[in-house]
Amino acid sequence: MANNDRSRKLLVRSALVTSATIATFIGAQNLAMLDQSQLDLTLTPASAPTASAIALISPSPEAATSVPVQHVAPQLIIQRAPPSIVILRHFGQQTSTTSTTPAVSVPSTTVQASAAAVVAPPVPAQISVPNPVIVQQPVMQVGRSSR
Amino acid sequence: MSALYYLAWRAMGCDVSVQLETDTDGAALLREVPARVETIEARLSRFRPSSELMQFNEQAGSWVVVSDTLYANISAAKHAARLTNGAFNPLVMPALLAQGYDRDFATIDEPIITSAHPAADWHMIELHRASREARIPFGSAVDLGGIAKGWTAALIADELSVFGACLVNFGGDLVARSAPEGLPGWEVAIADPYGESSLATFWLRDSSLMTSGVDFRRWESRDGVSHHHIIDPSTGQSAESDVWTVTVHHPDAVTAEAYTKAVLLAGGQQGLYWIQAQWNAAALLVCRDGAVLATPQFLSHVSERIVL
Repeated sequence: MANNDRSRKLLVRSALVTSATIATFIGAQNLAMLDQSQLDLTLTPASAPTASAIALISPSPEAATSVPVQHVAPQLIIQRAPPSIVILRHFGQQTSTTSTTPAVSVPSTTVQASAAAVVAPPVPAQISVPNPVIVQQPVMQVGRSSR
Repeated sequence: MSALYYLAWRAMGCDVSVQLETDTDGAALLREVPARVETIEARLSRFRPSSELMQFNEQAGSWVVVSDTLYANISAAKHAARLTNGAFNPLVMPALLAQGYDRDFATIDEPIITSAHPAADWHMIELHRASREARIPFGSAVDLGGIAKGWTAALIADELSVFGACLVNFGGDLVARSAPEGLPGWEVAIADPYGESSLATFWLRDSSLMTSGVDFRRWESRDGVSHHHIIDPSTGQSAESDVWTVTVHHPDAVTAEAYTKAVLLAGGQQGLYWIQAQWNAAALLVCRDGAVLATPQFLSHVSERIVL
């Protein structure tokens, strides 16, 4: 009897985890599809991620489909979720010189540090202020236009 | 055992106060703050000819190597302009001067009003981080205004927060870090610009509450025309708006400050609609006709509505 109860509890917990896991997979899959569709809209062919770039954050598509299904519990099945992060550029990768115009325009003037002016540091004034005091409770402050 | 320390003095043209709840020597910590603020003001004030900012403005058109403090503030000001699509524009100083705000507000007596100057394009503020250089268009000048106060208040709050919960007040612009023991936040009041009482009290924690308005810094020219310090960058004149004061709540002080300017220029309802579309922002404003409007997000932080 106790074993039956325990098995029933495990079935319920597994069902809950499975439904949550499936929801996560579905959500992740939708996100990946959304990412891809937005990517297609915003990227030019020159800067679109390559299959190999995506593969670096997850097994290759061929490997993903051939990953064996792991049975962790009688009613719990784990499968790999499709990646929802797309790498547009890897660390250290140089941007192609023939790629699209940069997203941010830069000043045409070259900065020459030796020609730049330098300002003299100002001298702070000597000020006298009262000593801090200890209060029993916070002093109510008022938000208002500056005065 | 923590104690609550309080210090008030005057700096940057406004009343400043700092509260710190700490189990360390809070008095010693707070004693250092006024000098810290003065060092910053000496660099950023447009009312001191020898300030770093004014020396920088004199070199308009040229690249200038600036200090970390000034570089950070010019960057913050340009970022504020980007956030508000130019509603906040740090290049309004020539317009401010033309409107008669050419000295500390407390000393304005008979302002001299000249023709209006639309502000230069804020996109033309150039920054080079590696060499810490900045350049503004020839003939323009930077006024950091509320950005400098918000930036300084946040800096002081961040430095003190290492030692405990704190609340920094720069002339009504409030930055809070953590909360006093046993409380959900620092309880602050929202002033009613039309009376002595408050509109509401607000729990402030790990965020900023910035207020701008045309209710205080205003003056009249000799021909009886009313002017104030909120400049419309597109015209170079005091902004025309149905908003009397606006209070913005946001995690970041500089962002909150910038948003107040955007709402003032956009007008009441349009400004609040715009605020609602900004991430993590909330606002309450008082219109010229006395109406009080607020976003639902703002009201969710209100602990008590006194007059609404």
